Amino acid sequence: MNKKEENVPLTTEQKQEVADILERIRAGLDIPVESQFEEPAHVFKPGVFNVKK
Amino acid sequence: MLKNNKSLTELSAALASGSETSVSLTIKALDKAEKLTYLNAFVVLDREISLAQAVASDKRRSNGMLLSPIDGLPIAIKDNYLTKDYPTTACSDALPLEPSDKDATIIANLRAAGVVIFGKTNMDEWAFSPTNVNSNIGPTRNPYNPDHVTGGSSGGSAAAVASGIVAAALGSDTGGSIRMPAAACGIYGFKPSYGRASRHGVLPLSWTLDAPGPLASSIEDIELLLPYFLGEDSKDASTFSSANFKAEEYNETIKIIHLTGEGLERSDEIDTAVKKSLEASSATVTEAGFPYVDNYYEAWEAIIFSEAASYHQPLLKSNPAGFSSGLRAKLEAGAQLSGLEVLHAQKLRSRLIRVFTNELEDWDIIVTPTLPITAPTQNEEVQKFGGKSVHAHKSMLWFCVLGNMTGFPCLTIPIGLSEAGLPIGMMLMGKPNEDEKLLAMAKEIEKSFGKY
Repeated sequence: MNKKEENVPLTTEQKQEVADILERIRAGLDIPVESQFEEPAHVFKPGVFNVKK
Repeated sequence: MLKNNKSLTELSAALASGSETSVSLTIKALDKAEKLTYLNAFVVLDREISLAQAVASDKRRSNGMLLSPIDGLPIAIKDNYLTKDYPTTACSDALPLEPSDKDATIIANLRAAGVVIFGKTNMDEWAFSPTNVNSNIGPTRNPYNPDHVTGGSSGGSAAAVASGIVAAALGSDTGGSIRMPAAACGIYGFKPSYGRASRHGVLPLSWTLDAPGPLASSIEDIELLLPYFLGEDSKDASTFSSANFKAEEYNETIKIIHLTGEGLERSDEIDTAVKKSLEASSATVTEAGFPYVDNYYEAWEAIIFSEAASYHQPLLKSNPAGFSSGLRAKLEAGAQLSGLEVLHAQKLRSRLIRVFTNELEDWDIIVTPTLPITAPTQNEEVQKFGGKSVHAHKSMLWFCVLGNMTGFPCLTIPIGLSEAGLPIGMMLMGKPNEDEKLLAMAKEIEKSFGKY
């Protein structure tokens, strides 16, 4: 393993990048979602495709 | 694919006819790799290891003991698949430089089929970037124009196939990492349905999005390789009930939905190329769009960032300096997303699946360009198309993330070159677990406009 070094704090630039990423993702997630409490059905239960067609 | 490259199918025939041996093919590939080192396609490639496998294959052939139709063919491996004979670094400084002494399930399958495991290919650090610029051994170069990126994160595999070093290579795809470089380099790339291909021994990026798959020189090559990818693997629970692969033909009329509209913009040149290809086919084509396309992209980011942060927590604590500055920031951001935010992203994912499965007209294939614009240059940060200015990372992922969010099988095929001589790809998305049918339909569609 190369360059092993623990407890390296984030730089100012990295902190800003983290903040920018979070702001972008949170803005994108800020839309209403109807009552869909299931897990992504196809992904976790193959075969449910087109059950309502 | 660059002209004069031989496909896996053609090389298999050459071995069968005796016009080539595994050793002769492997030597040609090694020599070409050496000649094209400027592409930076390989992390490691060992002449002795490759030739020993080729010699063994030729011996089996002369004794009538062939293991499979792909026995003796050299295939390159993305450096996030565990391999017994080479270290696996994921192009990161955080991993040890020793062989793991284990093969990923797909590698074990290929090895049992007699394939020559032909070195490990360059990739974006931990597969978490779409250009192949962010690698600890430096960027790969696009064989069509070295000033441009190959796309990532399976960029080394794409460069090795497009330049004709090998006819096929392995990749992995979490947001388009097989399809983006395949399209940018003018070759074929296939992301199987989620849960059809074993991920055991492929270093994870985001376990509900990851899919391993091949990059190759034709659709037939992909069909030749998929039996070694698809099927149940007791070491990967996501594959339970996955059927083995068997190539199919398709002779009925194909119903295509071409996704267009807000959030699905592309350059005029790309749009024209896709429409021309679709018009040449005998398929019925309907255009359709859907709302909140941009939001689904951010939902994908929430999922990949949080899952990657979870997977990397131990290394992030013990060796943060082992990650590049940009990747560390991504992982720290992923760790700061709340459980509620990630669940909200998963709800959006469910909604997207519902849109594709129940709210569009009946379809056999959903089509988009693979990339909205041709590959950026190595230093290009922003790309402009369809009236938008988009960061080059997001533009690469523009359409491809839809395939991972839904888990549906996706194929990219080359459909021509831009005015500047860069490849253009078209993405075909099939219904989940109908990988065989998607490939059969793609062969029919490609027949109508021919391989470019």
